[in-house]
Amino acid sequence: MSTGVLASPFSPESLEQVIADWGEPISLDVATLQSIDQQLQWVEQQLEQAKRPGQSFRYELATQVLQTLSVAKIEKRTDRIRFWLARAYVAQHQHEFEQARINLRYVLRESPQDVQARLMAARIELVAGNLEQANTHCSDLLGSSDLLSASACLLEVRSYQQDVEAVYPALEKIIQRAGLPSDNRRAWLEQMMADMAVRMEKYELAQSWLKLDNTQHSVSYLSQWAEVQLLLGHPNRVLQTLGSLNVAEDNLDDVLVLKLALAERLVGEQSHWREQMAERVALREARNDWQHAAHLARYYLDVASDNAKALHWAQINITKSKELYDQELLARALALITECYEKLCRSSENLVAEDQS
Amino acid sequence: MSGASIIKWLAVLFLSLPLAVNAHQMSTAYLSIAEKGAGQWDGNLQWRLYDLERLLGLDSNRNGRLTWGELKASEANISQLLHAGLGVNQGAEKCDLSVGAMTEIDTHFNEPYIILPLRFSCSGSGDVALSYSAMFETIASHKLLLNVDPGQSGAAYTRVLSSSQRGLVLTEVEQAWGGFADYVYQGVVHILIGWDHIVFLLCILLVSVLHRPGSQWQPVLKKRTIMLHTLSIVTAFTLAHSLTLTSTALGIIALPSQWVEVGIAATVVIAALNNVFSWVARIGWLTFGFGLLHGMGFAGVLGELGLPKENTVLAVLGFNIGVELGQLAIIMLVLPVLMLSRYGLWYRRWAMPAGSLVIALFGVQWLIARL
Repeated sequence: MSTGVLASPFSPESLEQVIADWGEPISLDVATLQSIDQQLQWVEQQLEQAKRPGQSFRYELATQVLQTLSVAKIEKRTDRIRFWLARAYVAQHQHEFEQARINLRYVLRESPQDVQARLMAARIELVAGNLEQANTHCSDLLGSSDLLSASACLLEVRSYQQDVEAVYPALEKIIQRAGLPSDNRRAWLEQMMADMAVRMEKYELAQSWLKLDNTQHSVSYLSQWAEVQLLLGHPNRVLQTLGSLNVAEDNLDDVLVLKLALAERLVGEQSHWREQMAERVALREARNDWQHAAHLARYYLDVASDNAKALHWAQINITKSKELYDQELLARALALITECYEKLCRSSENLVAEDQS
Repeated sequence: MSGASIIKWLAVLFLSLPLAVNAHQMSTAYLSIAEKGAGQWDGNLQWRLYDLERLLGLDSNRNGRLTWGELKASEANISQLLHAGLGVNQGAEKCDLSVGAMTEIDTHFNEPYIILPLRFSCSGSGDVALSYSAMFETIASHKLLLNVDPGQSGAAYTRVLSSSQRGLVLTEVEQAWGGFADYVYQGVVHILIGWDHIVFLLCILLVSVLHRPGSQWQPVLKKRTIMLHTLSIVTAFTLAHSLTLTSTALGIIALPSQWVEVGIAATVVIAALNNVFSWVARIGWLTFGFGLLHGMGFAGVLGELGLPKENTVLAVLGFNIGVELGQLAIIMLVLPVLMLSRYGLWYRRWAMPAGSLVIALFGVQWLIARL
């Protein structure tokens, strides 16, 4: 059986010996969360922290509390909306889009003008490749949210429906006119603009949107920054920045370890992060975790070449996520398999040998 | 809802959506179990202490540090969780579970796990089945990686149990038809990505709507005639490649794969040029002969996929059926278009010969690449 990072079993020497150190209490002390409001507040705190590097275990903690709640127990309408939104957020995080949609429908039935629900619904439809539905949700924001958020939502969808080159300047102009907000919408807009710049293959421009000027960046932001650095040919920056995050290596998020492994392969000196990623991949494969399919496909495309596995995971991934990145993963995997077939590659190992020769 | 609340949610929402699934070592348990004879199954279960803490609250002083003493104090609770969440049945009878003392800690990905020695004693008859449901209610993403050694009943294997699959028949895992659908699927996939097979088929189809009474191609007037002709040619191809696919996959015949692939490329060139120059008028036997080579090519792919030790014939049959289904899909797609085009002089004089020449060029390219 694959056991990941191996160490010999040991017998503790005394009853006082510490055998696990989590740094904070893990189990939920329900007694401290008496009211519904307190419980929902705790859930929201966990979800807020969960987006930071090494903190994704908090999704599970939030879920544990959400499971103890039910709509029947929640009297206040605003609390019910918070409950459904939290459930939708956790579901979309796990790529359980149908579950997320169901919860968002409950929210929108109670509160059709709910901005968060509309934005989340639009984003989910965008990821799932349902551009018309995403556009409808964004359109419904007009008049109920601030103009910048509604415009950004609409233009992001339009950038997939039409030419991104035409949409980018329009959104840039709106941001210039309104100014980049100082609240957390700033990172959202920066990531959106950087993503469009990457799609236009203007990597310097993408870099100009993503600035690591504080230590509070999300995993998603860091991952996108690293991808742009790799596209610009700066793998050492990735190794230096992500490698020095204040997170234990074993807790570092898969996507960040993947970027480090990609950077390491480009530099070609060490194999530390590639080994770390190989262990993660072995565990994800052993667990058959389809939620990690995009990372696995990318790993087999760009870190440890294996065309058959890359195609396998890219095909699984595309059934759930249909963004440009996901489509590119599949297209690359298919192209390699076809090329391999034509060259009579007898196994994926042969292809690796070809790559290396 | 307040503006501050909206902004808070925007933060939660967007900063992590584009790459939604973050990593953490997800909740995973490990179970090794082996049949030791006489209805006895021995093994050990490893549960992550982090998961047990969440379920049972082992850290009694809630300081975030778990001592061996705190864990030992919860031994009865852990045993209770194990009895409630893990079971083995033989036939309709539940097997007795005895759990050994907790003495050892193991680590996976630097996370500590408690090792729980266990023994199931079964006295019933029939299939032995395992069920597991210990943590799914609280930790939805929890999975059990299971390593089973069924002793005399077969080779060791691994499986994953999850909230959507909570049980497994231990002694009858290899279902005869279990992998059949996978091989059918692979057969479809491999004809659809196998360009040389597709263009060969296309070569045959290009002239299936025409006949050549003199020096000029003429349209076949009756649809029925076209159908019957296509059916006979495609049947010849199918019969031939089924024959060699099966024989090669089962190890009855063996030719060097490189020369088989060279031969396949040559069949494409010859079939395409035959459309232009009409060397052979009745292509049934030619197609049959060429089909023999294509079958060996399919068998090469099947060899790469690997065949199960048991139910080999079923797997080969599944792959064969998959290839035929893929082939049928191509025919259903192409033939109606060709039937509509057959009356056009442009098709008979230009499109068909030009298409055949393009295919011949592809064939030549493959031929050179494979030599």
